[in-house]
Amino acid sequence: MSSFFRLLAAYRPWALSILALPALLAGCRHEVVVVPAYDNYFPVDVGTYRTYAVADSNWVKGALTVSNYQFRERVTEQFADAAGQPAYRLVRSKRPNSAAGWVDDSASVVQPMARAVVVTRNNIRTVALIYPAQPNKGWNDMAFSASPDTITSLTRFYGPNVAAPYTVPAAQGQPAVTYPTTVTTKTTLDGVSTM
Amino acid sequence: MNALYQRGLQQVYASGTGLVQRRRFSHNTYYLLPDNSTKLTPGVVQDGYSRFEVLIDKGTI
Repeated sequence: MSSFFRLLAAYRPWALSILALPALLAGCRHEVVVVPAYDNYFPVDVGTYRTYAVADSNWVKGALTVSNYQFRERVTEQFADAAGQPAYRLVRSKRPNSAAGWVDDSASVVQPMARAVVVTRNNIRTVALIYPAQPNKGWNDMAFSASPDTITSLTRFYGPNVAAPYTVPAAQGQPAVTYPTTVTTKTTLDGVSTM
Repeated sequence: MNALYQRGLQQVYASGTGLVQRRRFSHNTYYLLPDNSTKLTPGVVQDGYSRFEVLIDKGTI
């Protein structure tokens, strides 16, 4: 045992370095931020589509005219944007009814990020969702807009219920469907004002 | 009669599915309300435009 301490004394500088190595490594440790897996409220997979029953209602002096048709959004490709981030192209098609053929209508780009989902349509980038979803949490959906008077305002809000079930009504012959985990986004002040 | 204006966009997203419902009112959509009514019980829409979209199908092409 005594020979061990003599050896340690002989190599004291090296021994101290070895003993201090864990502390040095701890000091240099790189903090990695792990983003938890949130509910995916905006899945985008190439080759998938979603079809919507659409009802346009137009009132003129109290007279209502309703126009029914369908939209389909399909994810046609994934690509990298100018910053190298993954982006997905959504092509929207339109048809007057389920028996008619689809006609491409417009396109948009969706970028799912760790903390947000950004949608670009008509050259305008909007923040569709932020993560994590929280009740009544607000954000600026025009955060990427160059307009200085809107850059700081909260323009979208989650509703009071997050991860709550929601039933969409029956439409165009399709039954009502209940989804167990949903969020609702809305415009400021419920989009309602009185005059 | 009172008038109530409604505008804006409401969207419902379902986990693992995406957008399942979207309701949009134009800026000039307004209701005529009976006196003493509240905005929670809107009356008759006088002028305006709305679009209502509901997911009815999804899958793989």
